[in-house]
This record gives sequence, C-alpha cells and structure tokens, in this order.
Amino acid sequence: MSKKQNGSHRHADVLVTDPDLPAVAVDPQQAEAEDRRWTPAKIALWVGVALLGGIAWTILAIVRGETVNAIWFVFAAVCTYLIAYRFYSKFIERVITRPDDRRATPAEYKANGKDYVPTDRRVLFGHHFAAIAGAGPLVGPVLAAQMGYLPGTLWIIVGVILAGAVQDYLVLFFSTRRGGRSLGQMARDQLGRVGGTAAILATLVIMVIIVAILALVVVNALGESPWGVFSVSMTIPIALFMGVYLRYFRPGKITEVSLIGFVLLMAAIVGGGAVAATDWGAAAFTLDRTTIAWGIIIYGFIAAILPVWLLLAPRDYLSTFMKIGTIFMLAAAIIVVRPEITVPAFSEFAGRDDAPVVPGSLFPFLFVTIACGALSGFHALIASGTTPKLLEKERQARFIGYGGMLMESFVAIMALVAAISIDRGLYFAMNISAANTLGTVDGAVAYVNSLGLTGVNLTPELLQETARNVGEESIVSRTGGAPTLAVGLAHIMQSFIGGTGMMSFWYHFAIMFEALFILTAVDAGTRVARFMLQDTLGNILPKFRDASWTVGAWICTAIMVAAWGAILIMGVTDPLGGINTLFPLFGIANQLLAAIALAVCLAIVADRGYFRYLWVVALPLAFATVVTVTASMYKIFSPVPAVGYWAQNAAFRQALAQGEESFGTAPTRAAMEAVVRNTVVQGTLSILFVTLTIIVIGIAVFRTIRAFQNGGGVNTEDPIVPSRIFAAAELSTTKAEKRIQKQWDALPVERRRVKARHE
Amino acid sequence: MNALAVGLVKAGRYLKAVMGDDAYEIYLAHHAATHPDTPPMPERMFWRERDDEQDHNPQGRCC
Repeated sequence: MSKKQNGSHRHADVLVTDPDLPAVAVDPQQAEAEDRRWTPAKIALWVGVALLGGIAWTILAIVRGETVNAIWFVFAAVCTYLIAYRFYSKFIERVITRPDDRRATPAEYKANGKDYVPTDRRVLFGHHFAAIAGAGPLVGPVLAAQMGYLPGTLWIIVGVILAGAVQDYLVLFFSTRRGGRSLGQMARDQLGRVGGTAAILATLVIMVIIVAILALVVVNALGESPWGVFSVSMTIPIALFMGVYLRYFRPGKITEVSLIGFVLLMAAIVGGGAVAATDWGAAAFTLDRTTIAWGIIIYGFIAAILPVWLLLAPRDYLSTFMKIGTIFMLAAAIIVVRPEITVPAFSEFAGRDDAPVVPGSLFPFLFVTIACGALSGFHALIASGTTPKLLEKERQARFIGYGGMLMESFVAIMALVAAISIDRGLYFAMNISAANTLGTVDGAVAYVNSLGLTGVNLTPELLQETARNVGEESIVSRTGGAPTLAVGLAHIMQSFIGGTGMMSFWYHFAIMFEALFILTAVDAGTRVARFMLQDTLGNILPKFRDASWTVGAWICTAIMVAAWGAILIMGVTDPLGGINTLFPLFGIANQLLAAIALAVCLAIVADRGYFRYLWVVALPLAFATVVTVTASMYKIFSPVPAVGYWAQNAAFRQALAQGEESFGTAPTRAAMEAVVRNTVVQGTLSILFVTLTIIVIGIAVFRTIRAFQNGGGVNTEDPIVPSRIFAAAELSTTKAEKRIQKQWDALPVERRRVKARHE
Repeated sequence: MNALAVGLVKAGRYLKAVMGDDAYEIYLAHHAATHPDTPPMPERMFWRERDDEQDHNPQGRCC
C-alpha cells in the first residue's frame, strides 16, 4: 500500500485503539513532560556523568602521561555512551523515527508464536546483542592499536554514537514499520529495481569476503598450535553431542545443554594442554595453515548442508552462552585489574602510510580497520529481518538498536585495552607478518627493533618467555588480532585469577571463544548466503527457489563455500602476509554495506519529508562513503605497492618480466606469480564493491533530491494496525509506564494478550 | 541472603529466556489465545518443527 504523504501528515490522526482496554502507550505529552522535568537529583546525576567523562577524556587525550590507567578508557566510554543514549538517541527518536506505541509492531500483528513473537525488551536486547556481536569488535581494534591508543578510541566512541548506533537504530525501526522486511527488500522498495539489485548483489559479495577473512583470522590463530587445534576441533563433537541431546533426549532444555557443553569446552581446553604436551598429540595436531584452511572449508560445506539441529544450532547456543559470559568477565577483569597502559596516544605510524600491521595512512585506513564496534554494515542484516519480528513496541527500538550497538562498542574498547596492555615490542612481533619477521624469534627481534619505536627494546627472552607462559611453541607473527587479544586477556586475567600458571589456560580460552564466534558466523554466513543465492538464481531458474530441492541447495552451498574458500586459501598462502593485505578489504566491505544501509535510510527519511533533520543520516552516510570510497581508491589507484593492489600487481609483473628470481617478500617465481594472481582478485573485488555501492548511494541521493522537490515521497510503510498490548520502552520503567502497567495487571489474564489478527 | 537467591533465580530465568528455553511456553500461550478450540502441538513435535523451520530460515550471525 502506498500513498503520497507530506511532512505534516501524521498517522496519529487516524489511529484508533480499543477503548475497552487500558492505554497501549504512554501519552506522548506526559512522557515528554516527564523527560523534561529536571529534578535536582537528575541534574546532579547528569552533571556527574559529564564531569567524569570529561575528566577521563582529558586524561586520555590531553594529559597523556608516561602511562595511563585502563580505567579511564572505561569511564570515557561509558559516560559518553550514557550521554549519547540519553540525549542524541532521544533527539533522533523525536525528530526522525517518531515511534507511536499505539501502532502494533509486526511481532504483535503477525504473531505466530514462533518467529513473530512480542518479546520482553530485556530478553530481546540479549538476543540482538548475541546476534550482532562476534569476533569483529575483538579483532579490528587490536590491529588499529599500531597507530597508538587514541585514534582507535576516538573512532570507536565517536563513530558509534554518530554512525554505528544510528544505523542500527534506524534500520531496526524502519524494518519494523515494514513488517520486518530485510534490507534487500527495503532497498528494492525504496530505490527501485536497479538500486535494489545492486544492494542485494553487494550484500552477497560482501558476505563472502567477510566470511573468508573471519576464517583467515581463525586459521592464523590455530596454525602450528596443537593445543588450539585440538581444543577448537573438540567443539565439533561437543556440538554434535549437544544437538543429539536436544533432539532426542531433552528437547528444549537449551540452557541445560549449553551448560553441559560449556563444561565440556573447558575440559577440551584443559585437555588440549595435556594432549599438546605429548609427542603423539603434538605430531597429530600441529597443522600448517593451509591444512587448517582446507579443514575449515570442508567443515563449512558439511555444516551448511547438515540439518541445523545437529551442528549449527547447538554451536550457536554455545557461542551465545560464551558471548554473554566472556564479555562480563572481560569487563570485570579490566575494572578489577586496571592495567597501566604504556602505549603512546599516537604512535610513530599515526602520521605515516607504511605501518607494518595494516598498511595505509590513518585516514582512511583507521576507519576501515575498525569497522565492528564503530560502524558495522553487517548489523543492518540483523536489525532488518530478524530482530523486528520480536520487537514488542516501537519505542523499544531505541533501547535495542541504539543501546545494543553501544554495548558492542564497549566490547571493542575492552578489546583495545586488552591489546594495548601488553608490551609494545611484543605487540609488533606478534602482528607483523612472517614475510618480514621470517617467523623466527631472532628475525622478529631484529625487525621490530629496527623500526625505531621509542621505548621499544624487544628481547628474545621476552618472546620466548611469553610463548612458554601461554603454552605455545612460538608467538612470532601470530597475525590476525586474535592471538594478540588472547595474550592481552591472559595477561589481565592471570592477575585476576590464577597467576602466571593459569596464563596458558586463559590464552587458549580466549582463542577458543574467538574461534567459536567466528566459526558460528562462518556457518550461519554460508547458510544465509546460500539462501540468498538460491533466491537470486531462482529469478532465472525457478527451480532454485524450491528449498526442498537438495541438489540445488548443494550446488548453491558449494558455490558459496568455493567463493570464500578461494579467498581464504589465497590469504593463507599469500607471500605478502595475508591478513595485512586482506583485512582492509574486510573493513571496506563491511562499511560499504553500512553505506548501503544508511542510503536506504536516507531515502526513507526523505520520503517521510523530514528534511530539516536529514543530516542525522546524511552525516554518517557521507563519512562512510568518503572513507570507503577513498580507501577503495587507494587500494585501486595508489602507486605505493604496499597500499595499492594494482601497483603491487604491476611491480611483481615487471619483476617477473625482467626474469627476477625473487622480489620483495616473495622468495620464488611461483610466489611472485601468486602475488600477481592475488592482487588481481583483490583489486577486482575492490572495484566491484565500490561500483555497486556508488550505484546504490547515487540512486538514494537522486531519490532524496526528488523527494525534496516534491516535499516528500511514497510511503513504503505497512498499513497501520492498532496495538492491543502494552510494554515499557527502556531498561527501567518510568512512573507513567508503571501506572499503565498496573491497569493491565488488573485485567483478567485472558484479556491481557488479546487475539492477534490472522492472515 | 534471600535477596541474593532471588537475584540468582531472576538471572537464571533471564539467561533461559535469552537462550530460548521458553519457546514452547510462548507457543502454548499464543495457541491458547488464538486457537483455544484446537489442541496445541505436543512439546517434542514443537521443538522438532522449530528445528526444521530453522533449516529454511537461517538466522544471520554477525562478525
């Protein structure tokens, strides 16, 4: 249903709720009055929050002593989040989303007791958070720490309040108003066929690259680590056991089986140490990275075609369980231990473009290295489609969408703190690729000390001792961020529980949960991508739409696995180091998706006619566009080989043509040919991403201008259905909400949840 | 002590709700409200059907 609407038109005029029921929404005037009533206690509280936040920022950004205590990161982050949530997100609610709790959400009017269920807001917050947060916020900030702590901290905190959380909130709200439609469908409705198709295609390609690079992080963490390989492989039998237990023995006892799984997981970590210490264990589980990569590819294919109850769902339960637990643990440890940070605010690499962990200048590459935690386009896929089907009331979208993303940002800050709490020399020795450190202790010491970093004097003893403490053969060139975070976490946790003797446990505990999050994302990503591909192919060959056609499902799964598998193998065998060349592509892909999501939001806001406040969406959209397009342009056109894929390609092709036997970090002609191949793939992907995104953004901007000329556009919202339920909007319940809730509680039970309308 | 016990029970209930243990209860309540004249699915069948539905509607998991 679509009709013209102009800016002043309000749905409120036509909405009539059931007069026999208590109120289904707090009276907006009353809510506003309560909001605006500034009691002395409330004023004191917010002044206190602002002061504490201000002091924390001053210490981090201006004072910058020799060392800085980690607690100031926590204060700076939390106080800023609180202020942004209370004031900025409320502003967005007032001027853009304008929720109306008298309108039923899809969870209410499509309620089916299964996937459309009005869910308690606090429970939904947990669901949503578990779905959006994974290994991303644990990895990006670690890699960005090469520039010093301040650039990353600023971007994570400022980025989330102005961009990331705004995107999540808007997509969640707009999808809720559209029956819980997915981002792709919203793009088609809002931007027409071309824009919609480009958006769906971009989403598919971006998912492939994201899955591949996440898998690369796991491979790098497990390579030559028998302990890690053993304990992470044990998650497969554990998940199978949990699946069978839930299916045949005690259906529905999810928490119970997750607890059992968790205990088994701990046993697998402890057992991994014992197994890796034996000769046969070390022999059987010391695998090189290519073997592990193939293992993950084969596993990914099998996991995607097996029934979900057997492997994917139980692993997901375990992952959710670990997510909630480890995040509280990490926060508690940092608050209790409060490590002193010696990393400078800005490192030597902040002003250069030859940083050794991920190459490229601070602008734009810091902003793509840290995607998750500041602005993550992937969230738009969860915030549309999944969460809206569970949202009880429109006004809760702010708490779930904006609040959930703030929580993820906090995880990113904690990961950053954990990573910078370790010695800086150690940090670089772990994160510089083996192409430069030669993968040896001596090579790493020589290379890191040659970088001329102030205060860094790396000794072989430190590398050997740390490796011994965490129970690994070597920690040199453990790139990808996960092992660094694991060392940082082990470092913090051992002074919290267990001492040095427990460091190896904590290290492998951290590797385990990162691997678990990533493998869950790989499983789910492959499956989701397969359905998207089936759907797309179904446009040409309708048979592919038939979900029960096994051959079609297998073909599509194989295509998706082959796509990310090829990129994974390319990254693992890359003579240039892998993660440092591919990680920028991950960030660019993720933020291009964010740009697409924000472009769709921009068109929606313009069609609603709220032009005065269009900047709320236009600002993050413009920033994401400038960052990702600039980064893509660097990757495509930069003449510096370390930065530009095609420059690298040309340099290696020339060397080959001149008959060189080795070039740069590639020791053989075969390796040089591999670089030529890899850079073609990477360069082509860069071009593809940026082209698709520019198409989507271009159409969105065009539609926005047209809407501006017409004073509004087509309303793509679903028809209004009056709500018949009530629920509070925030974490805590206001006085007005309590009064209404009392009236509902007084009703006979059978009238509280009145019949939902059925199609 | 009592407050602690109440807190733990609440935390346990919250965890179970986030993990999805209460899906069958939710379904029963929904069924009772919408189709009171027909018997609801038995518990085992409900979970089985839920599993199979997930096969066709996989939920995304982010990075």
